[in-house]
Amino acid sequence: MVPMDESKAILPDSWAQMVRSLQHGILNGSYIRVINYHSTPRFKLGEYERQLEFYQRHFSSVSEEDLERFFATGAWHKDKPGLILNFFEGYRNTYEFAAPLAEKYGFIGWFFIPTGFIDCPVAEQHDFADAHHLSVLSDDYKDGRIAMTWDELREMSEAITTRNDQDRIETAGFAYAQSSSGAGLVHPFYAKLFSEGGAPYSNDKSEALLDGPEATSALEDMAGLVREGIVDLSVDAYDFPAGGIAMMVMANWYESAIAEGLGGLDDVAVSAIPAGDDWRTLQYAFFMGVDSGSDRQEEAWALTRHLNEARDGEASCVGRMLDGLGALTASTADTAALPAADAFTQPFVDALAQDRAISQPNVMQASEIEGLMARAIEEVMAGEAEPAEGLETLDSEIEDILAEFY
Amino acid sequence: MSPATRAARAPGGHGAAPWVFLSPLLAFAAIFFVLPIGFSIYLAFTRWNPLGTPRWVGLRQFEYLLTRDDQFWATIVNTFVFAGAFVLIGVPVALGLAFVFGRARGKAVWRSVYYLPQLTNIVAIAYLWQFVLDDRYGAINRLLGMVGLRGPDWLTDPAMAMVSVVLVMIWYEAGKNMLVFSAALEGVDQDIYDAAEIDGAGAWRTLVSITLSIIRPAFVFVTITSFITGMGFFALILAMTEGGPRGATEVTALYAYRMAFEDLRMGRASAAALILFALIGIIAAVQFRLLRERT
Repeated sequence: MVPMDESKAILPDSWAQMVRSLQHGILNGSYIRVINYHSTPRFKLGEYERQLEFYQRHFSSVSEEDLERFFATGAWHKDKPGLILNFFEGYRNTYEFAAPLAEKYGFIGWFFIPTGFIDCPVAEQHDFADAHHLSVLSDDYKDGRIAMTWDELREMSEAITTRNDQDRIETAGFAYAQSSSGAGLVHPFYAKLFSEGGAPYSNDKSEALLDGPEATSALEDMAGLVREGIVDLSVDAYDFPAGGIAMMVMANWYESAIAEGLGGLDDVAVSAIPAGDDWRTLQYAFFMGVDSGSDRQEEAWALTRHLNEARDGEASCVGRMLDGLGALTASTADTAALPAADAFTQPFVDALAQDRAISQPNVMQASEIEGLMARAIEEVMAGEAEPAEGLETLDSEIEDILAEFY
Repeated sequence: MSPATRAARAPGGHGAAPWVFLSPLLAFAAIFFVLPIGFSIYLAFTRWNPLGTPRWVGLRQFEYLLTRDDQFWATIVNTFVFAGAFVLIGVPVALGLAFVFGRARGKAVWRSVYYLPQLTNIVAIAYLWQFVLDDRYGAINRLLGMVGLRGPDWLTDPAMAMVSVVLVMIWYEAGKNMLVFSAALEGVDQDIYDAAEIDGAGAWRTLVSITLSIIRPAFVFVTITSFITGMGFFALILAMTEGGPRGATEVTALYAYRMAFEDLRMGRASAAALILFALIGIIAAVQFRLLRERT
């Protein structure tokens, strides 16, 4: 590793430049050692323990802050040389054997997780490993699961959360967005509810179904994140572009804000919400309409068409605006005229293409109902109510509103 | 009543001229006060989504709010806590400031400084204080952190959030009330203080028996207007906490505002506003009567 001028790209422009940088760094002592681990099977546990003992005697752990400081100053600030331990691929044995060892010897592990591997159904994981040249090395697991689960990843992510001397979160492992509409809590709840196979309303919208086991399970999961100290309700996911938050559930239209805040998307990975093989997510759309009571309908429709029609092979005004945000357009003409989805947006497109994106329920007084939902969800997450009890009260309040219209 | 008497009692005496001069004010009052209040009272007896037309429902909105809406009652409690704290702490603070700056050098400068919040947009004030009171990055908690203290969760703890909005409200209104008290204090004849001193009255006795007695009308005015302001003010809370966390700072005025413009329940919101208006009116009248006794 070499110290970098902050104004330059991380990657060298040429082999020659890379060699020069390496020479410079090595001659000046400006480097950090990196050791890469892949599969860490049980039969090698003794060897790994000896290695970690040696590392502990001769090297210091490297955090993200240490690395940033090293890049900024070109000097290593700890007594012992830095050593980064990388763990690739997200193997189950990494979670079970390597991660506890790293923690035992005081080293921060850097985990590089291909979310496709973790999302892969257990029965297909060996095939996935073969197809992607992932070495498994041993057959430790009779159930065939060789990838870690999202729950195991979540457990390790607790270590991402750091606190300052006043016990206030400095780096949050996970955060929910705070919005006046309550969408920051309600939308993840919907995604979890749909993934559990539940629905918020009956087909005719006359009944709320939030007092069922699916809703209770979804809300218990969300409350569990707070209980385990992974989520702090005072941290707002909308601060993600400022850094200091590792993970969040967010819509694709936030792409431009994230890119602006973080100076690019190189450090951002997007994946489906980890909710099992039958995962689902939420989709919602905006529409433009004209008041049928307006005496300017013709002009209003003309303006609406002007804003939303693709022209001369170019996307419409609204299409270009949405694309600039990172949002998707429902207009096929706009989609044809706009560039293909980037790495950030592709998972959202995939969710739509796979029919895993369920539409936000279109129900009378939706805004009022979702405000009530957000309040109830937050009360449970804050420990002020139990999930089942909170949802029962919420279900009753919503049915009072539904009764006015259905 | 004879025509001569009636004419003599007309504003400004005889003729149409007084009414002509009053007409701009009367028109303003009719358009911006009488008509909107009248319409609001009518709406309180209807059910109206602004995208449609009002439908008469009689007393159903009042019945819902008073008998079935627990959240409405919670906001009434919050309203009294907010207004009560604002009056009980804010009025003495303003009086204290008026005393202190009444004797200070550069009192005009001090009075201007304390009045500055009144000249600042309330949303800007709310955002400024959000920055100052932020749990993690706020100036206050960072300063406390430097001396090893954790600092409270100013805006994310339900109890502290109410304390925070009350304190900011006191800070916002202190200058205005201080000016009223300052004017009243300057009207007190120094000879009275001299006479009291000669008679052996101490500072506390002088304050209670002389100063407060003489400035009683100003005290009544500030207390009642502060109470009315506190009962109906919600812009600061809307911008600072949005009524949160979890409704801890949601006052009735904010609840009615959301009901009208977020839930599109204009009729129910008007009923809530009318109930609040009645509460404020009754309590203000009682206050006025009690405080004006012995004046």
